Amino acid sequence: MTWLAWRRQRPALLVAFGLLAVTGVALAVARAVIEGRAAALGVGVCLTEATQQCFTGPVQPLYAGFRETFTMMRAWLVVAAPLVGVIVGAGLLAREVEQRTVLFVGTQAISRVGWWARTVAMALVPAVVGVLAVTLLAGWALEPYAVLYRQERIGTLDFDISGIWPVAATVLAFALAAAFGAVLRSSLAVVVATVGVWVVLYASLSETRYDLLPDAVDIVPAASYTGFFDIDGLPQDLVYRGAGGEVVELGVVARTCGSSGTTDLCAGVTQVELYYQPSSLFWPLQALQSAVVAVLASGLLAFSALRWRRVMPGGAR
Amino acid sequence: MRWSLMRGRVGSRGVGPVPEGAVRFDGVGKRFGGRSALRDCTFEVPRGRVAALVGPNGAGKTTLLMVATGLLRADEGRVEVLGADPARVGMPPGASFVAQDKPLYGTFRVREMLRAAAALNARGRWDAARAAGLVEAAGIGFDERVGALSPGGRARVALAIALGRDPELLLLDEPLAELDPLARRQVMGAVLAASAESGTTVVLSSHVIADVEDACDHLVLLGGGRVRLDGAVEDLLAQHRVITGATEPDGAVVHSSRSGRQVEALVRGTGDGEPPTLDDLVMGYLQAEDGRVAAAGAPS
Repeated sequence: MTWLAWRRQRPALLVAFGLLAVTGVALAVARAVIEGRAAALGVGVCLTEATQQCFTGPVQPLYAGFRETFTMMRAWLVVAAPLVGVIVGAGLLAREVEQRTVLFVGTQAISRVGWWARTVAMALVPAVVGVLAVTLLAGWALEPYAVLYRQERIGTLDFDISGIWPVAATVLAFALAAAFGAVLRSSLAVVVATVGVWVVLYASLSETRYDLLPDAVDIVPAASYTGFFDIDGLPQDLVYRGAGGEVVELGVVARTCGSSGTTDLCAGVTQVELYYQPSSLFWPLQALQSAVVAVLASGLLAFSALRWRRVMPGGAR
Repeated sequence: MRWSLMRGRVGSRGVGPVPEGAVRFDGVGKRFGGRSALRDCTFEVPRGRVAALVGPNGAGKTTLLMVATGLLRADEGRVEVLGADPARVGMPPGASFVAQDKPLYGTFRVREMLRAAAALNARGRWDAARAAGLVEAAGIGFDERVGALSPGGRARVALAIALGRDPELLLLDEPLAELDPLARRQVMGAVLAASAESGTTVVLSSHVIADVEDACDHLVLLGGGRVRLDGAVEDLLAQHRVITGATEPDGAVVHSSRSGRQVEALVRGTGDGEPPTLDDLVMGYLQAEDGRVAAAGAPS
């Protein structure tokens, strides 16, 4: 039965693995290219640690030349994980109805739930393993880029392509496809519905992500404020306060202080507070969002299994 | 409730032991939305028979077979297939079904399709050698793609898989549809050979009488979702006469038609006239008005 589940899913799995393989190769090449270029410019150290000389001088061509590549690679990885889920999940059940093979399977000596479980497992497990492998590869391949561009992995794009979130995104997309596949009778309709709902869910999760855990705050007296904060995390909010602790509106500060670079004595500001999500929250946030997705995906898969009992009414009970 | 449906029915055999039915329907109804696909269907197919389920398009043949396989659940009445209720157990163990469009995995090779069937029947009966032998006998290569097979080839593979389950009961929905004459003969030959070799009960649906009249010894005639007639073909033919004359004959006229000054009538009963062909019988009952058939003592 495992063989049959694999054979049925073979085209979709091959497409998914082809996609992941190409992504993996592109990542490895991307690392090799930037390391080669950095070595040629004599700024290889800027890919392992962000020293002061990595802001200016000979590093500039490197800095300017790879920004677009870095952004595109990360954007693709954000899309690739759920795309794999959609590819292996879309035809899983809908195709059986579409091609009427549900009549064949439903009149053999196999239980409906057993068939569903093996089919789902055979598609989901390889997809998850593949996405996990590419996620690990991406972590290694994009490391020099992250150092060069000073990206925090708790940042929006970086959060989405590292840790366990890519796997969670794959599972969510797969579960959506499996649920829609048990309702809709067309693989194409399943793809459209899955992509649409996934985008809405992803947007909702991204929007609420940094509200789940409390921000850390860095307070600097106005007298020593240079316009920069040395924090390890993702800035969320900047607050100016007066002597009485009252908030001084940003507009007031901007009008009064201009671009002097310091807020000392401007608009009565006495301290500046930066609220941020520290990098130490990366794993708690990954765990929280993945847990939300796990619950959602479990519900969707349970719905899919129950619905499949009706779609495939025959088969051994 | 005990099964008593055969009593008083056209074609019921009142003499000698009646073998246990392979398929029994008692007052079965099935609706799709507001439309009745099956209404009060009552019949029995004894074991060992090759039964033709005959009726025009839309008569309810496919619905009836899907109810028998558990793919659809009857809204009313009772169904028993090989002693089991398909609504409760699903496809009854010992039964095999081939759907009208022979749904198989088109991208699989024939060898893979047989392997798939083996996997799906790992918990049931599966005779791999028999299935492979039937495919080989049909001249189909094991490495051919199922999707590239002719309709006849596809039917032979579907039949091989159905027979590979070593069934006591074979349910075939329009097995000969879309087949050329040679393929029809070959498929029917394979079905009859299986029935003869292992005593498999066969129920096959068709809307073409010529396809089944030489092969079947039992008839279930469906019209408008109702069973119009059922029983052993030999008995049914013996119980009817075709009478031709200037006037409509007296008695239990099932159907009559006038051609010029001649009236040809299908009459239930023995006596004068010629024995009808199966085609006469089927067409007579399908063309008969409900009330008239009822007056003739035919099934409701």
